[in-house]
Amino acid sequence: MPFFSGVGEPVGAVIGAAAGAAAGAGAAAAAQAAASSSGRLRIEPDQVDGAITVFRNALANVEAEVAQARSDITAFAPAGDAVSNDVASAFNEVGTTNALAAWEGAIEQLRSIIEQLEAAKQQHLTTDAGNAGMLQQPSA
Amino acid sequence: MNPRPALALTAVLAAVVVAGCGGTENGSPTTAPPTTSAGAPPSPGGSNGSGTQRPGEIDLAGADPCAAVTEQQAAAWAVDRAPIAKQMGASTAIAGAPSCVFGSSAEQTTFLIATSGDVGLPDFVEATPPSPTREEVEVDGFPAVVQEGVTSAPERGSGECYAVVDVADGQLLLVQFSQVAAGADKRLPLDSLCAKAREVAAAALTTLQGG
Repeated sequence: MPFFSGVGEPVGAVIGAAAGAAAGAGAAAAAQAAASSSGRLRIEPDQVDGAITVFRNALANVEAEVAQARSDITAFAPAGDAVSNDVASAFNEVGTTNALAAWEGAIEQLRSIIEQLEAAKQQHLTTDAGNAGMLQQPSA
Repeated sequence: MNPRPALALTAVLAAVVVAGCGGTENGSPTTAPPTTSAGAPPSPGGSNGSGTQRPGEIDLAGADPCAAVTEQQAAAWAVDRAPIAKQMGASTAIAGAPSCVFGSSAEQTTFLIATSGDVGLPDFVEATPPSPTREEVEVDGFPAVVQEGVTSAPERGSGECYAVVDVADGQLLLVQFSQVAAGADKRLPLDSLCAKAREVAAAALTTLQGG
């Protein structure tokens, strides 16, 4: 499961293996470069905004691919020969179920990563604001 | 997964009227002949070569589906990201037709618009597998069919519905409205997805007519 480092640690966010795969799917060069050999993605605090953008773009692209694939299935026109019809039947009976499950998994994972990055960003901002407030306290 | 009957592969000429996608008719039929998207003189409504009754004809040859709804119109469906241009697959009844996907991260919805300048609704219906949910409707006076997609699992927040509009002889507008794994507070029933597909189609007709 993806997770993030605790507040105050130098790393802004650490995401599990799924994030690396998702970043690759989204052609996120920066995120890919940051992927560690363990399959986790380490994101420095100043890179969180960029990472959020990368994963939002990845989500938009995956959702567009899914929308197009669904339309292609609905508008599918079998060639009329027996082989085409057999392939179409097999896909309709099994393929659509499997395809939908795969799409749901990918999209849920991307949404989860974005939510966690946004939470990490918010937590970082809150911590920074708290530290700044402490520094501004007049000494007794 | 919502159990779905396997789709028969025999093509049918006529759309089957079966309950499934409800929703109210969006807008009222246009009485004045609309202009075409290319600005050419509009074809008269009423009778035409195919005998299909329409309030006018809309020429979709060369139309850009990403421009079929304006930013202002798209706000009605909370679209919050840039449209993405796509293309219909090679094995579809409208192979190669331009398409465009609009998305709302806030509502966890997407809609796709495709425009075909060389395949009409009767040919589309004949070429594609019949759907038990296919229903004949009108969208702003234009003949259309609405049908649910086969990759739907409403209990998991996944659903899709289509409105396919007969805009001219040999030309059609296809709209898909869908969700994938939408959160419990975002999920829309299939009849709502169908109603929204018709809303988007009506908006696109307005834009494509130059309105």
